[in-house]
Parts: sequence; C-alpha cells; structure tokens
Amino acid sequence: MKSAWILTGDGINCEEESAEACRRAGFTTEIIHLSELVSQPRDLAQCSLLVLPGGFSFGDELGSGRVLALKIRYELGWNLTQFVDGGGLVLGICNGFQTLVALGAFGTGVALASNESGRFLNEWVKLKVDPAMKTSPFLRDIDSIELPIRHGEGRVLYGDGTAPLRAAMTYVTTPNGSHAGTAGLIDKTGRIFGLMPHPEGYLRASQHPGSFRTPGPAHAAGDGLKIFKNAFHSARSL
Amino acid sequence: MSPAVKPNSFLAERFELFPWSDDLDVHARRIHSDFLRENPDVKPADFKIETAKAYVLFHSGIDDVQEIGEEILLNPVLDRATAPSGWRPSSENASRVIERRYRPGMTDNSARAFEEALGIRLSVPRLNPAFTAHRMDLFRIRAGNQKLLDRIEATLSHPLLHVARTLEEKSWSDRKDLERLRELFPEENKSAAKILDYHAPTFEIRELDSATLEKASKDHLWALSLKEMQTVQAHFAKTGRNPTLGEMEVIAQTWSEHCKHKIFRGTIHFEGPESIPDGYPKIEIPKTTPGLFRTTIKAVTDACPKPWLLSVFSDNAGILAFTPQDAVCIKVETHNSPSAIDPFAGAITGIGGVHRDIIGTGFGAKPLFNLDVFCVAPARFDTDRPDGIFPPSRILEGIRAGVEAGGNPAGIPTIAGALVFDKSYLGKPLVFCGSGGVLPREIELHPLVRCEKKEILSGDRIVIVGGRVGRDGIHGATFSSQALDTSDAFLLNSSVVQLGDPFTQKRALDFILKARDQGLFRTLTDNGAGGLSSSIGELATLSNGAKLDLTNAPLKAMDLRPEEILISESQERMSLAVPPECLERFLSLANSMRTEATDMGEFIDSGFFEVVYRGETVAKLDLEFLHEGCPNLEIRAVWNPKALARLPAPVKNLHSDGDSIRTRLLKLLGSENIRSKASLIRQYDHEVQGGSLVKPETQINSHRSPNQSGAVLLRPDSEVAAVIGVGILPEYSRYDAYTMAQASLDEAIRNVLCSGAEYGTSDSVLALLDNFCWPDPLTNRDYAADLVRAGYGLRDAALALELPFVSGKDSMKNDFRGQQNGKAVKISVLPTVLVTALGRIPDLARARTSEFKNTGETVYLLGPAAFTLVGSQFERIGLHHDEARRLPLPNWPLAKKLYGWLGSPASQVLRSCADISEGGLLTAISEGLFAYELGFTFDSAFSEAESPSFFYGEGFHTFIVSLEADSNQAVTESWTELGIPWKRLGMTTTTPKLIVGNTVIKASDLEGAWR
Repeated sequence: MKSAWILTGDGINCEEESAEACRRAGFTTEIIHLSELVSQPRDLAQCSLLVLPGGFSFGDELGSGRVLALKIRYELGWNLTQFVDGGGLVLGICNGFQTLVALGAFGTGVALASNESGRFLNEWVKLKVDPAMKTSPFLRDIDSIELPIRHGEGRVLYGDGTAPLRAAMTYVTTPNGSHAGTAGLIDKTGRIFGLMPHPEGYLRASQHPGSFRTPGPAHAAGDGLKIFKNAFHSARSL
Repeated sequence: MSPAVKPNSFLAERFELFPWSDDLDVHARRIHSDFLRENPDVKPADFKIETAKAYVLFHSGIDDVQEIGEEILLNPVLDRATAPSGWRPSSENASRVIERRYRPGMTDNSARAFEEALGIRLSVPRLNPAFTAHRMDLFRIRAGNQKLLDRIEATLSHPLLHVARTLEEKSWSDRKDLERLRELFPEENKSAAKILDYHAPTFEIRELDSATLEKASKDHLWALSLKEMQTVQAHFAKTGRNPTLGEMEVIAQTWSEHCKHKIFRGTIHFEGPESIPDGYPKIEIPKTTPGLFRTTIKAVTDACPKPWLLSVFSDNAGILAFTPQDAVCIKVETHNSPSAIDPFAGAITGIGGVHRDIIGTGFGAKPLFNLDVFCVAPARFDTDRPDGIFPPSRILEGIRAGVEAGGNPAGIPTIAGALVFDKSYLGKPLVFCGSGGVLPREIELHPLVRCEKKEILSGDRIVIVGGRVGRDGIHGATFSSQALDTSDAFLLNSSVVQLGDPFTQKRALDFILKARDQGLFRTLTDNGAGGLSSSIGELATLSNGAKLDLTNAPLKAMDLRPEEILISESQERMSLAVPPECLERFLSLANSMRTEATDMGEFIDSGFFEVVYRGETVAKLDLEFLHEGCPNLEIRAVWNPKALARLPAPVKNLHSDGDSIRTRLLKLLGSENIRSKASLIRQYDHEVQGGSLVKPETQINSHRSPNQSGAVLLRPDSEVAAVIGVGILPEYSRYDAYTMAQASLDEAIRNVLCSGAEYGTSDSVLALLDNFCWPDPLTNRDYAADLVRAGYGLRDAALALELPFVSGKDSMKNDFRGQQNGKAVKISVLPTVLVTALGRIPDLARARTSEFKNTGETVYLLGPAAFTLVGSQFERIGLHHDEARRLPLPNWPLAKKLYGWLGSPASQVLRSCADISEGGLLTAISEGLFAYELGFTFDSAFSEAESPSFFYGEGFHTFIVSLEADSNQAVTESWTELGIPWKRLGMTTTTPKLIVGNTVIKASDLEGAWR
C-alpha cells in the first residue's frame, strides 16, 4: 500500500482536490486535520507522500506559510529531512510551497515575496521543466506543462550573498517577478518538491480553458495528474 | 506564566520590519499608483512613499522575547529589523513619517496571528494568553511641498478605522519606550472589567407623546417610525409595564427594514396614467397590491412546484436538489451602506456574511462558489463628487480588495459577477455578494437526517461558535435601514464599521462541517444583522421560546453592556441548537479544532424570548408580538411614464468617420460597461476547490474572450455542475422598471443557457434569485411605482418561463444626502434589480463556452432579434441614431421554445453560444474572436447599411451561436420546425479581421479597444 497524507485545517483550503489527485494516482489517501495531529501525534514514517496543499494557512498573516511552518516545527515536531531520507516524498503546492520555504527545505537564503504587481493572480501559465531535474521522482517524463497559478506571494527571491538555486520548473512568461522565472524548487534529495502552480487544479481536461475547442475530451485526465502519478510510481510501499 | 488579568506592570516590545528595497515595497507602490489615479494633477515623480510594518507586544516577561519575536516576524531575505537612517524625521526636509494603528476594538488579524504564533513557539495555550499584540503601519512620504504632503497623508488613514499620528524627531526616538507605547495603546492600561452589578434599565415609554417617541427612536439609533413606536407603546400599556432598554433594542433590530422587509410586505396603492404612451409594454398593474413579495415573487414559486425544490424563502438560502446525493443552496446579499463608508470593510464583511448564510443553511452547507456584482460611479467623478464621499475609483478598488480578502482566503472560487458603471451610484455604491454551497441531502447520523429540515426541541442548548463579541457592528441593521447622510450621527459612531476575519470563519466552518457529519447539533443559523437578538430571536420560533444567558458570552471588549452584547454584529459567529446529550462532545470537538464555542442557555417553549445577565432579566418579549406585531405599511405609488422622443440631432459635426462601424464599435468595446474585466477577474481565485468548468473568461495564452456565466462541479469527483448567471440592466429604469426587471431576468437566464444549463423539462433544475436595491419608495411615489412595476415584471417573466424564485433580498434606502460646492445634493441609485440564475449542467460534457473555437464555423443569429436602442450602451455613450425610440418587448412563448432547445442535449451540437446583450450584435461577435485570434466575415447579404439597431441594438431572447460547417442543415431544419427564428450571419475565418461589406477591422484593434 502506498499512502498519501493531505494536511488540512488552519486555513488550508485545497485539501479536497489534492486528495482527489492522490486517489486518482493510486494512493490510499487520508485528509488529516492539523488539530488532530496536535492532540494525537502521528509518525510521518507511516506515510509515503506528504502533501501540503494550497490555501491561506493562518490567513497568510506574518508572511505566507510562516506560521504553519512554526506549527509543523514546534507543535507537530516533524522533521522533513529525516522523513525524506527514510524514503518519504513531500509535495508542497502554493501555500504548501511557501510553508516548505519557510521551513528551510530549500535553504535559508530563499523567500517567497509578494508578486511584483502586489496583486493576487489567477491565470493559466506555461511551464518548462529543467531537464536536469527530471531525475526527481515528481518530474519524470515531464518536459513542459500548463497549469493554473493562484497566488499573491509567489515571487522567489534570494537574499544578498545567497547563490540562487537551480529552478526545477520555470514560467515561459514570468507573471510575478520571480527570480529567473522560478515556479518550483526541488531539494537536494529530489524528494521534496514545492511549486506555486496548482497541478491538482488540472486533474481533468475540462479544467483547461482550451478544452472546449475540441469536442469530446471533457472527461479525460488533465496533465496535472502526471505529477501525482509520478509520485505514486516512486513512492515507497508501506 | 498565565495570569488571567493583565497586571499594569506589563512590558512592551516593539518590532519593526523595513523592506530591504523599494522593489520589495509593494504596499508603497500600491499607494503611489492609487494616489496618482485619484489626483490627475500630480505626477509620479512629485512624491515618493515608503512603508514598513511594526508589531507591539505587551507581555508579562518572556525570555529572549526579542529573538523569538524576530524569529516569528522577520523574514531576513525580505525585511530588516532596523530602520534605514532616512526614516528619522527631520524638520528640515519635506518628508513626513506617519504611524497608524487600528482603532481600539477593530479586528486586527495580523496581531491575532502573531499572538497565536507566539503561543505555538512558547507552547502556551492559545486562549487566555499572557500577552497581547498590535499591528501598526508606518509610512514615510516625501514631496516637494507641505500641501502635497498633507493631501497624501489624508489618504493614508480612515478616521473610523485608524488612529494615525505624524512622528516628530522626539516621538521617533521614543517610539519603543514603554511609556509611549502605553499612550499609543490606552486599552492596555485600563483593566476593562466585566460588568458585575447589572440592573436592566427600563425605557419609560408609556407616558411619552408623539414628538418624544420620535426623538427617542432617533437618539437611540433605533430607526423605528412613529407608528411603530406607538405600537410598542400600546403593547406595553397592555402588558402593564415599561420595556427594558434591551427589549427596545431587540424590537428595533427585529423590526428594522433590513431584517423585516416592511416595504415588501406593505400594502401598495398604485396609480397609472389614463393611457400608456407608445413604446411602453401594454400591461395592467393592479390598483392595490397587498404585499409585493407575496403577490409577485412568492406567487411565482407557489405556481411553479418543482420536484427539486427542497426549501424556498424559509431558510437562510434556497435549497435545490441537484443529484440523488447532493443539494445546492444559494443566497445573494447586499452590503451597500457599509461599503459607502469604508468600501474594503463593507465588502469583506459582506462576503463573509453571505458565506455564513450558506454555512447556516439547512443543516449546514459548504460554500462552493461566490458571485459579486458591483455598481459604482465612473472614474470621471473622482474629481467631481460631493463632500465626504470617496472617489468612485477608490470605492471600486476598496470593494474589489474587500471581496478578494474575504473570498480568496476562504477557499471559495469567485465564478460569476458583473460590474455596472452609472453616475447614480456616486452617493451609494451597490455591492451584491452572493454565494452558493453544497450539502449532502441526507446524513444518517444527523438528528434531522434531511438537509432542508430546521427543527429545535425545547431543552436544546443555545451554543455560539466562532468569533468573540465586540463593540464593532452595533446598530448595523438599523443603520442600513436609512439614507446615507454624511452629517449623520451614525458616521460618528465608529461601531458600524467592522473588519472581517476570514481565517477564524474558515476554522469555524471546518469545525461545523465535522460536527454536522457527526450529528452533534440539530440546527443552526448565522449571526448577521441584529446579532444574537435576531439569530436567537428567530431560532426561538422553531421551539417557541428561548432563554439566552449573556453572562458567559465570550467578549472582545470586557466592559460591554448586556444590551450591547445582545445586538453586536461582530463577525464570524454562528448560533446553533445542540441537543443536551451532544453538548459535551460538541464543545470538546470545537476545542480540539481551535474554535471557540460557548453554551449560552437553552431553547424553551414558553412563547417568550428571554434574555438574562447574571440572573437579571435583560429582556422578556412575547415572540408573537416580536415577529408579528410590527404594523403594516401603506405605500402610495404613482407612475408617470414620459413619451419616448427621438434623439435630438447631434449638437456639433462629428469627425468625418464618426458614424463609421469601426469608430462606433471601437468606442463601444472600450466603454466602461463593456470593456474587459480581466484585471478584476484575475485577482479572484476562480478555480479553487478543483471544480472549475466554465471560467469567467476563456484565457488562451495572452488572449481572452468573456463567458456569459460561470460553472463549477459540485465536488472534485463530481460530473454535475452548478452554473451561475446574473442579469442587471438598471439603465432601463430611466424609462421603465417593468422592462428593466424583465430584461434583467431574461439576461440571467440567457447567460446560464450559454454555458450549457438545462431547461425545459420538469426535472431541469433552474431557479432564480431577486435582489432589489431601491431609492426610498416611502418618500418618493415614483420610486414606489417603479418598485411595483419591477415586481410585476419579474412575476410575469418568471411565470411565463415557469421558473421559481428561491431566495431574495431587498435594500430600500439607497439615497445619499450631502453637499457639493456649498449646495445640498441628493443622489439616488437607479432602481436596480439583480436577477441571479442558478442552473444545473447534468454532465460536464454539456458545458460550453462563448468564444468561437475554429476557423470555418458557421455563425447564426438565433432568436427574435427584435433589437432597440433605448437604454442601450450605444445611446448611453452618446452615439447618435435617428430611429424611432421604443423599449424592447419580450416574446415569452417564443423564448420558452428557444430556451427549451438550448437547454436540451440537442444543443450540444453548438460550438459556441453567446447572448446579444450590452453593445449588441457586433460587440458579441467581436468578443468571440479574441481567445483564438480568429476573424469573421459577414455573408454578402449584409452590408454596412444595416440599421444601428441591428448592429448595436439590445433586446430580449437573442443569441449568437456557431456550428461546425458540416452539421448545419439538420440543425437549422430543427430550428425551423420548432418555430425558432434564425438567420445565418457568416463564417469565422483564419485571417483575424471582422469584415462587413467593404469595412475591414483588424481583430487585434477590437481586442485592443476592449482590454
């Protein structure tokens, strides 16, 4: 059995579609409320894939993802490094990516700032995958993909003196001022993937705005599912 | 470290966050561009602005507080903790530093998050913390002169929300001192205590004369009329005692126009002219209407029984069965008065309020989508407006931002809406916030099992869930029940302005859905207008009584008086009836999910709404008097239709090509009511929850075509969608409100049909909502006549199409009185009806969009095509024509046939479908070209010589549809057989040009004008 845990609560709001994505990919899927984890702590080692879904944890106050990161570190006491070293996979989408960044999954010199426009942005974007990153379990066989973005703080920036990371995924046209068009990052193990676009927002063809052009494919799978299927393929069995 | 009451010896720490660079200071950039937009005389380089944030923490001793605070607050990549040297104020240069805090008692979400983060970091319980935090904003402005500095400074704070001060050299260097911080936050000094010694004050009503009664109603902000005050007086004369102040407050809230809809229930006497002038619909309005709601809106629903109608008008929102498992509910609210005073706060509380309506529908629903409609004045009135009101562009941006802040963090997609510009909205903007939710039709574990049931048993506990009660939002219901007056005492009463907290609400929603699924409560409703006095007062009718105990009410402001607790409209609260045997599990689940829940008494069957505080009776009101005792209104309405004259000849010679198709079409596409709303749409999440099907616009790379409505699946794994369309055409009210209402209804239905809604069989789920926003019909008989005509207009159209209304709301005091250039002005909104249609797309493969898909599609005009120019965008933007002027007339029997075909599976053959609405035929065709960069060529049967009403006219029931070239004949034959008028217009082409006769217009020019 391969199991996926989808975190929810405290303002996370993409748990249902993230769970649907994991189910479609083959995972035994469980949506777990953060408050349950506080009252009944669970060992991360019991899951194959941990998903930090999109949303507005803690209302995005004090910087998106930052309070949730504190909660994961201090209240849940989870150590993601240990988890992935033991064979686990972590996917952080949008607010989940922001949380991973705040947890230091990609080092300390990187941050997600407000979009250059200062405005929230919902639109479909074209993305390219860095061929060197296709070794990551998440990105196998994906060269490019179209996905929706829906965020106000998606601009990847690096502190003075920090060498920029190699982006796993970049925008063809950068919508938010992100450094070198970075849309997603992969940690050095390849097992933690964070991205601003929403792969769980493209599980079926009908979600793509262009799907109405050709009659018929409304029920077909959308490209976003590939990322979850890839994760399923590489996830450890429990 | 857990002192329950903060000692005065508290310590204070101030943390500051300065962006490392201007590039990171998006807040400053926003203020800069907003100021320039509203002040065309100022140039970008004339001033510079920088922002920073500060947090102040009062605590009783936390080790390493500086380090821990910075760990939580400071992102070292983006901000630094020490002020750059330039921030130090100096009297010599033309710069200013301003420090701004929220007024005491305002919701401060960042500060609450800081407190919670600190609790997490220090492992201390969240509630009753030994520290309190405050958030502040700092601004540094530089400009060439003091006058400009003053003007900028004035826009940085709002006296009803903020306290701002300019920092001098000394106050800058002292700003971290404990003494200074205590001065800045006086609420930290006084130990506000709960009222322990309470005796319910009485209101000596029995001896008062008419003048004193009227004055008392005004002084207490009750908004009760003399007749109503006298009814209360008579009631208490019979009872043999004087009312308490608490009872007067409860009556005032319950009888407010906002809560009671007295105008819609009143008796209306209608007078019309001897004969109806040409150009108007020939319909008869009854001389007496005994309750407009009952006679028009509800009468339709009574006449159209549908197997899928589960609940109408009785609950927070109408409930419709969508699948054997799922029901959908929908509600649209208005939040006009609060949005006029502070558009951001008004809009965020508006959207938050309608979400609570949905959460509180049936046995509890999960919000599934939002819809928003804003009516505002055009930006050209930014510099031409009465005193004391905001520039319309700031109002629009504030409303937009408020709905964003309430909608996006809640995780609810905003899928439909409209934006209407008209100068009549200068005094009071209209903000319609709607939401729909999904709920399972049955939950076996739930005490009521079926979703639409509302029951309370005597003995059930009264439990309040969510946010705490504060001084915010007191008298909101009575406030919005009168005209907006900038000199009004209401404006000085800050408590009518509130800020929302979508995060607390989201947590409460998560909890309520879980408690619902476990069957831990019997029924629930939201706390909206009138606060507990309304929510418990209404729920009490289900058990025939309630005993509400305010003693343990969770408070934000400890010294609130019981009367204030009773009517405070503090946000994010729900009221529930919990069976006593479930209470312990209910409270324990709430606690584990970090939602505050408080047992506040019980439902009883005494026939009274009783309120107590520390054993003392605050109010004890006969429920029947409270809910049925309000006297009936008698309203006089007089209709004076004016003859529709031809347009006068243009005053000056137009440019030589002034009446060319190109000029006219580009002007129309670029006009404020037609041009792209992409900048708004993109700032709302319209895809969250994974059910996105038809989006507000079809975006293909950088090109966009608008869709007519929005559709979402009920769940990520569902194949059934809800589709939402709106119709709002207030311009017709300048001529005839009957036509306005009918056209709005037709528009809403056409919009959902364009996206694939089903219609035509008894199983087709399609329902209507009505929202009336009116200038006061009690003081103006013309407006009263418009109201009656609009009601009958909706009735006649809905009856003809056999479509029920399931929910509605009205707002009746949309007038503004103030001063401009030393003269008194009154601005009343156009009588405005918003019709919302909620339909079903039974299979997602039946969804469709409006843009043309490919080259070689054949394009048809489908429907009666009886267009006219009165009230059209063409006339509104000042374009000239010399056709006879008449209002568009509907043909409902024909519409029913056409809509039946469009709502059937047969219409899946269509490649695209758009209705012809604002801007007319050429606008509709143009918009369909953008997404795929296509062109369109009219058949040779058409030339530039077609009439303006053909190219630009507007009217009922007509669409532009396209078909694959090879499927045409069978389809057109079926239209003919069904008696549906159609006309072939032309073909889409690869060359991106619009061609009619010898006129060739590049599609990119059309798109450029539109965007």
